[in-house]
Amino acid sequence: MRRSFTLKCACLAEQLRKYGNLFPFYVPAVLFALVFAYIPMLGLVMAFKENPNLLGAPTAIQGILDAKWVGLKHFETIFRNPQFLNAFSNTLIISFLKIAIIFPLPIALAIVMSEMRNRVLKRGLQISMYLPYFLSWAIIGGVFTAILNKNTGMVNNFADLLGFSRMEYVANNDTFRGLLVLTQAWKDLGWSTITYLAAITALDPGLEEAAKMDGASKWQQIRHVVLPGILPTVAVMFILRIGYIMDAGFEQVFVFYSPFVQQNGDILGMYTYRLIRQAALVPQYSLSTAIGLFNSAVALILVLAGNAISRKLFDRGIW
Amino acid sequence: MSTQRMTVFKPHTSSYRFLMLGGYVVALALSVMRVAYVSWTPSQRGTLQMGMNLLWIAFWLEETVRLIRMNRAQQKRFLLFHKCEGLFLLASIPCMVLDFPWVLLLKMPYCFSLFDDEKVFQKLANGVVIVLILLFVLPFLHVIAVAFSGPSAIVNIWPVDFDLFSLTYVLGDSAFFRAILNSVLITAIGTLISVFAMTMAAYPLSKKEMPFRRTMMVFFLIVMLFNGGMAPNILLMNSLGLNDTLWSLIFPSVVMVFHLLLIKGFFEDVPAELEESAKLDGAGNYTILFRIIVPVAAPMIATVIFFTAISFWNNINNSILYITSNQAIYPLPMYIKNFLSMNPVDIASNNPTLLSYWNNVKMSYILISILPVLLCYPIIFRYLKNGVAMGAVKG
Repeated sequence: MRRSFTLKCACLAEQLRKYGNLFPFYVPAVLFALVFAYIPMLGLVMAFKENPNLLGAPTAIQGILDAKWVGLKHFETIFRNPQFLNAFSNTLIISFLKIAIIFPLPIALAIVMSEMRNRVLKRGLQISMYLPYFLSWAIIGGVFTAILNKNTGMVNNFADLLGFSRMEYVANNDTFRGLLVLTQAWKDLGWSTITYLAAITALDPGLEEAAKMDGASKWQQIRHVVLPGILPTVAVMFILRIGYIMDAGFEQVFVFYSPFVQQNGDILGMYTYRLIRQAALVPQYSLSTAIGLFNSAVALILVLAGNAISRKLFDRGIW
Repeated sequence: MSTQRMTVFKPHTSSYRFLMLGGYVVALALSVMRVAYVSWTPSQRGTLQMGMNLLWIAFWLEETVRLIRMNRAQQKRFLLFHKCEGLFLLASIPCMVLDFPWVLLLKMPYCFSLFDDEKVFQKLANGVVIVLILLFVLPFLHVIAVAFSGPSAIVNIWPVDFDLFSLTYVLGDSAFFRAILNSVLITAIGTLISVFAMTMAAYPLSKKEMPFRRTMMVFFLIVMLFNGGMAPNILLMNSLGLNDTLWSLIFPSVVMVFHLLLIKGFFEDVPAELEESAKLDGAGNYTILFRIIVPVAAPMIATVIFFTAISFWNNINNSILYITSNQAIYPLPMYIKNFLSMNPVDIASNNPTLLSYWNNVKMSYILISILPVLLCYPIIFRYLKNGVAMGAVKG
């Protein structure tokens, strides 16, 4: 026991002598991580304290330190707050909708694209479908608000032509979730297809040829050769996607949000934001932090669990 | 195996095949048109409904006849392989009573299986891809069309009353170009700092024998997996006095752990002999990293630079959280978002021309802010090849 300890020490000393001069390389990254990631984590104590009185205190830190401890009071408050519960359930519902509807699309599209022979159309699709991924949500928000506009938008013009009545889509509680799913799909479809296309390209083309020789129909080739081949990739992507369920897309919702859609479109990110920036009297830092902590903790558990499962089953993960 | 399946009764004359497919396409079209019932007169509706039901009955009869003409074993095999067909046969009657035409979709596999399925697949794929291309292109066409149109015209995808007023208005807006400049600054400085810091930190992390390597990995992974949330971040920015400055839009996003892990992976692939020989020549660590390892991994690092730049360019999260009053430092996306949510009457009340052009002006702003990305698109497209590594999960 002791011997191995001294051995370890000697080994460590040796390693330190050899690699010690590499430690300065960490400095910039560690500095930024400490200041802009770890210090805010210390700020999470606010979740267990009275709302800091920042106007009375000389500095924010002093204000936070001076605030009284209140234990889990804020958590009890938020779990009784209908607005929080609404935002929480919306976050989950919107995320589930996004996964259920958007997740299968790039897989299907990748299969179609890898099997189709028309080069021109394929190239045209590739060129047009990657573009939205590189646009900001602000711009996508502008584009979709315009084409869905009740009086001037393309979609309503077309519906009018067919004899439907014009309809509001963006500032409409009933269609808001659909809008979120649609725009998310529009932005990400091309990008997420790349992963699966790569997975399909990596498959052995001989397998499909052999299946064809044996008289397998197109559908059978896809079902029995392509799909099983990319199944590990699909499973890993799915598990990792589940890990991000607590993030329903703050920037996206922010861009499309209006008070009309609070009931169906309010998500945790929006609610914490409003508690600080649009609070009636005093910014509710403590309540907001409590919700943020709850959100981060659940998200952390989900990501860790997802990664562990994916490592265990498929030997792949984010790290 | 497959030859056995072929013994199932299948009338393969070409007129029969086209009759089935034609009938099917018409039936589908009819059921789509039922959705658009709004504009039809009751008598037209009646005709439509009648045609629909006739086709339905025809399909149903065709299938029943086909089933009856088979022997027991053939029937069994048929129902086993064409589950949709059997389901269609069973579900048709209640669905007809309930007026639910979409059960016809179950008929699709059979109608297509009458043809060479490779050809059918290619045709279907082309159709799907054309629809998708339209879906991706039409919104942009609409933006361009409105930007070039005159006021209060109904515009779809081509300009009506061609007019350059809104575009000249946008090009004359100095605050807009200030926003573009801000975005360029943020992107340039942010990318420089971020990629530099990540490259530096990735070097020791890529050494297998580096002491405390695991500790440092955990240190960075925590940054990726956990965060303090909005309130502490906002308070931190306040107390550092960075609120409403360009730095508040850069610093919080500098540590991109995913990129750190990627660069670390690239460095691990650089052959160790390169480094050993440089060390024998007496090169220091900094020389080794920046003169030897980084140039070897340059294509990969270029990809990381590119993705870092994109994420800085498109970020509106930081602007939402950390800019409260100083609109002069709005980056481009936030400027757009702010402009789009403004009430036209507040700004343009003394300028009736602008007020009438309001929609066109909005689209001109969007058009011009898409342009930089569009101009970079050929480069983006080239990097997408390397981007496969970014999209794929690390093995």
